[in-house]
Amino acid sequence: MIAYIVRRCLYAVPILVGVNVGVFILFFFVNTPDDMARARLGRRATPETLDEWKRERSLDLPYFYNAGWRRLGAVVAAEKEAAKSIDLPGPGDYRLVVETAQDVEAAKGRRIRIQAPREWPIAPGAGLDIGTENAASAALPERPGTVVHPFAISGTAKPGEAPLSIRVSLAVAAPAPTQRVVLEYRDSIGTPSRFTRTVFWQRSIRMLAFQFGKSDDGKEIWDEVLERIAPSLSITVPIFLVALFVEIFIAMIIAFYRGTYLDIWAVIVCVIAMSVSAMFYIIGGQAALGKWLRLFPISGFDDGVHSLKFILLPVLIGVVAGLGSSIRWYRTIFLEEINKDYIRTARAKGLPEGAVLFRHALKNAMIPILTGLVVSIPFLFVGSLLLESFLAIPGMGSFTIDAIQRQDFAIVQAMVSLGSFLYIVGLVLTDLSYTLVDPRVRLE
Amino acid sequence: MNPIGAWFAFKPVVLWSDALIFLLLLAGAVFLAAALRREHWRVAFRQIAANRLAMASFLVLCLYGASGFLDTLHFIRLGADGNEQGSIQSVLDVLAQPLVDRTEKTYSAPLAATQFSKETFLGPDGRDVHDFPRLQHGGSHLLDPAGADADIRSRLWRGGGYGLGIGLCFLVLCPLASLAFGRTIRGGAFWGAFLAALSIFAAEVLCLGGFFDALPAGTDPFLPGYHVLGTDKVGKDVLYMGLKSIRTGLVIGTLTTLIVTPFAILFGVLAGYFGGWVDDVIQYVYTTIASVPEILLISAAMLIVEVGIKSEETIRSADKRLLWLCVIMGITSWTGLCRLIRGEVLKLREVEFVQAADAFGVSRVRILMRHLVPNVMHIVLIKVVLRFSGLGLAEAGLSYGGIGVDPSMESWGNMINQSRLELARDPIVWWNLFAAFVFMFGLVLPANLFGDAVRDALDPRLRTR
Repeated sequence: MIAYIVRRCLYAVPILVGVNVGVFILFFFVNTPDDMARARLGRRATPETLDEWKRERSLDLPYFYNAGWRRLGAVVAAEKEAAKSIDLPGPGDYRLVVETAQDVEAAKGRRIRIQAPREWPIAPGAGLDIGTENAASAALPERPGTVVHPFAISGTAKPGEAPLSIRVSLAVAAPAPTQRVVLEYRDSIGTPSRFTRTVFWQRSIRMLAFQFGKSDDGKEIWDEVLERIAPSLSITVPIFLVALFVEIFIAMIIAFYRGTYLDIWAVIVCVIAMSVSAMFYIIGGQAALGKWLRLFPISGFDDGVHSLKFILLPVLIGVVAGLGSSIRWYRTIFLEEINKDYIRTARAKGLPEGAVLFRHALKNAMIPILTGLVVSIPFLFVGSLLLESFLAIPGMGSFTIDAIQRQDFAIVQAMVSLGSFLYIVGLVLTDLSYTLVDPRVRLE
Repeated sequence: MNPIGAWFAFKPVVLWSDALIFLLLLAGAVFLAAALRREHWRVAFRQIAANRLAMASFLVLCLYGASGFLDTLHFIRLGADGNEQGSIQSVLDVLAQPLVDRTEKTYSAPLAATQFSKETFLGPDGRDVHDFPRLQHGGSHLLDPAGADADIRSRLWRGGGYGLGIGLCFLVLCPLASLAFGRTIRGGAFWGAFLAALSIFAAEVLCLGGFFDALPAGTDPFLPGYHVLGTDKVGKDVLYMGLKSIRTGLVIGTLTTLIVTPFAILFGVLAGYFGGWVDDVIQYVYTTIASVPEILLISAAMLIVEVGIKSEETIRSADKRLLWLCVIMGITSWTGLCRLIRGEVLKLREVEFVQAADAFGVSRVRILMRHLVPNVMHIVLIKVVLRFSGLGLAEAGLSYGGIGVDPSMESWGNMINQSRLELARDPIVWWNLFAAFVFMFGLVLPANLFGDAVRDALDPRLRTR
């Protein structure tokens, strides 16, 4: 048994990894972090605020492998001539990266020139022309993201003797397109951080350990999740239990009266009930029970004992909204069981119909019912998105909806990861539950 | 200026979703033609046709479909100088021109002659009055808005009369037709009653909306009538919004499955037939996708896609977003179908006729195409039909969450979303919600009934929730 559980869990690992990689691709490859920052901050955002936004979320890191390039400063070519002195940390490898160029054509023919003090000789890489006075220059590529040929600075002068700074200048022919050239320095970082200081590690691997990071308003997502699980559960668990009981009970009554007008009309009512969008149940219930009859508060939530009056309305709505489809589903299952041989045997030995249904059919019908049920248990934690949002319950569902509406990518990504983790847990639980209710299922 | 010439000068516009709808219709026609040549499909179709409730549902679905199709034929008017004029329109817009033109200033209740909210305006005696102003179009033919009730009553009678007139023909003709064809007279009576009810309903709506009155008058460009379902916040006719939303709902219900069904069939058949590593890979992929809770995956993907959609002409970017929604919802719904097909092919692979084909040396591709794919098509059809209503309902929920269709696009989800704030008003503005409910219910209920009939006819053993 334990071996089976272990194997089942191991089987879940590649799926979990797959989901994580998939979510990573969805979030960081379909759009670049730049696009995300711009969508979040608006069109007017300056490059500096975009950088700031990305740095806060460690989205300025490389995706998979961090060679240790650290940003020292940038030259923006918008004016006739752009030049800037940038302080350097010391001798080592440097490179220049072109960041933005909206108009490729007009940016053609631009050159970049770097000049360092005499004490720090520049050893240019391939393609960087050496000039006089310890300077080097190169044509600037138009495409953003391209690395201008790297160069190294070697030196014998001790730090402090001469100020170690470099002058980076752009010769601008046409001022129009904004182009930013960033000077980067290669830090000597340890091998582990070459992998951990990447977007993939920070925003995907860490999700596996439930380290979700911070949301846009600066709160730890995990703390918020813990805070919101209780309100979600206080709604979803009663809905789950009450609905299960009510649905099975009604479905069995319908199965008991199968073939009669009661059965036909019950099915029709079920189809009608399931044709109504859940939103109408919520809005209708809110209006009828909360606004007109004033039985419950329309929305809101409270801690402790006071929460009871806030819980009743959502539970009622949640149960009613699911009745149609579930009753019909359970009815089919019961009818299928009822036509089996062992039921005929039970009847033949003179058992009353009620006993046949409740003692024999119900037990066997539990197997298909369980399939649907156990998988949905983990989702109790995720909460009901619409219900919570409409009724202003501070649970996980409204958390997610709010995050979507605020375009908080971090929260949405965290919820997707959490949701899929729970789903996989649910699948494992389903398999295990079979062994409990169905002696025919043997674990290999 | 020649109004007729200006009227007819237009250039057809095919949006991406339009093109896919045409493709879908073509595919449907090809499928139907192929299926009708085979006896076992004909048996199933006959069984569906014999189910009166299913066929009545189908008729309602067809009405929805016709409206959606008219809304799919987009064009742009050309001015006298041959340049494009105005924005992209659809044939439905032209047919519902009175509804488009009759916009008010703001909310008005269904069948009202006065505005919903009070306003200060210049009274007839030249002084400022603070009262409910008359609507520009709704009930504008009345001399006194107090006479609206009587007028509505007379219109109801008239509409009922027209409808009953047409309905009586159906009531008589249908049983007669069924007698003539040797069918049961009860079937004919059912159809007669159903069609009569439909025509009475349509006549009432048309009469209250003032559509009939246009014919004799002819001169007045604005028809005297009411806003049958009221007007919304910016004074648009809610009935028109509901009609426009039909296309959105249908596109989501149908294109979603069209886009992904080929992949589901392909991968399901491959996984089931070849087994081995192909099976492992495909199973892994769909289990992984299915592991992400549907709603979360859709939200995340829409959030991401939203970032990428560049602002264009509104109708085009809204259309693009609609398509993306279909693709994303399709990706999430693809897995269930794929799993079912794989299971079915696993069974089919061992059946004698496939084994025989294999023994005869028929190539694998040919076995797949001729023996396996046609034998899983019934599952595909069942799933597509049953999935339809769920997708329509899902759209409403997603649009509410802000991740559905574009807010500028007419959809039931957007109508519900809008009505949230309206419900908090006092007195309550209920007609937007009501209209969305009526239109959605009118689509989803027949879709469910028809779907059940299709399932029962094709595979009664296939249990679906």
